[in-house]
Amino acid sequence: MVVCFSPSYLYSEVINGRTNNAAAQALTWDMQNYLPSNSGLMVNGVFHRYTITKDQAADATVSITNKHINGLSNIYEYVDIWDNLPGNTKVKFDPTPGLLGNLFGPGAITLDGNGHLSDVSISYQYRYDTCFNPITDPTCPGFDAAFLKYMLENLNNQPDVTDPLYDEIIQYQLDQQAAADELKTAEAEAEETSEKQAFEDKFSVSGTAQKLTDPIKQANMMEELMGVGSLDEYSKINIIDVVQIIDVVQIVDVAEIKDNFKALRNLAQDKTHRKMVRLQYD
Amino acid sequence: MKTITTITFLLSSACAWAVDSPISGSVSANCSIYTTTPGEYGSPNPYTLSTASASGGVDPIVRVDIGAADYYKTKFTYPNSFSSSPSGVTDNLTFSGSVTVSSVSVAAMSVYETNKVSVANTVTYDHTLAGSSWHTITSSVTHGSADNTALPSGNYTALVAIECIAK
Repeated sequence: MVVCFSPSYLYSEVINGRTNNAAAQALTWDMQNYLPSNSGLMVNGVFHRYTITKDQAADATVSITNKHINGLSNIYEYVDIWDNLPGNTKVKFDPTPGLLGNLFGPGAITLDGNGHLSDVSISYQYRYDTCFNPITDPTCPGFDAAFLKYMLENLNNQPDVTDPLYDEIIQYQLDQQAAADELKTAEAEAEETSEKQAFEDKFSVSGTAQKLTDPIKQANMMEELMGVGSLDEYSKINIIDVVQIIDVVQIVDVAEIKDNFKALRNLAQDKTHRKMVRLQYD
Repeated sequence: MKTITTITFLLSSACAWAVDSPISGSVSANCSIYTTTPGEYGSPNPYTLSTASASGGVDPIVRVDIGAADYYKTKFTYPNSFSSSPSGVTDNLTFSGSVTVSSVSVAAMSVYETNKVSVANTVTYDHTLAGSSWHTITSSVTHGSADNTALPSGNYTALVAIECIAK
């Protein structure tokens, strides 16, 4: 029994993108509002631009950070020290190889010291494979194997309507049931056909004429006919029945029987008719 | 037999009397200049052309990428003449301009503006750090020496020259 899920085409794509300005509304932001939720998404870099206005003699530090999703530390941190520097506009793309997007917690840009931030823009460069987890899309290469593995691992679990694969699981179960029903029907039909064929073979009359002219075949046929087995039983029963009938007849003989005049008249007519016919030839 | 063979080898190996053996190498570009925003003159009145946005113009922005720190200077020369203009521009033209560091990729580059050297219509920056810096150039022109004479109609083009100089 094979269940085939292969669609007409398989398609996988690597998506490169950049988020909108996360600091457009405020100097703190929630990453869930900006990074796509695709599995395996990697943040390749952070683009930031801001203008700091300050006195050259003043000290100031600008930090751009993202908390780790567990909240204990920063998964991303970039610090600009503006001590004794004139204000300016800072533009930077900071590459961050190998950072999983789902580990990025809340982000913020902060200024410690004297100065003012304006025109802040923070964007995240990301990359993901649409088929990183092939079970998420039936058009992904490797979906069949991943789905079967998933089904085997969850064989005894009832499907959950919140499961993104709910439809596929139901379809799989329907396919399994349909295949089982189809197999059962096919077996029943095969058995019925076999019985019918055997019955027809036993009582077939094709070639009977030839068999009748062949004394050996005739003898074999009679032997087969007598070898059916059940005939013997029927014969025994019939013998008993005949005996019983004879007994009944004997009982009838004891009773008084009146003459059947109608029958006698018919016999007389038959006798007359026979005499008339014979007169034509005698 | 052995002696003859040796002599033959010596003769054949002495065919070239002199050889030039090349040594190749290359130096990657550590100072690159890109125009990120092309400039455009606006004409707020008949005798003025200006790149200022208030005048309807666009200030050109140039990015300088430095790969190795403290090996290069850049020299910006903003226009003091048109490279092309309609005929009939006979009266005096007065050019003015400026170059400023408008953005930096490293905070410490903000001192470039403080440390720049301006002579006439040239501005020189010392790139002591690796990274990128964006330089905004302004340019304006007025026509007429005594009174403000209208400029002839037509297209005007001026050039900003930027060059990397090894220190």
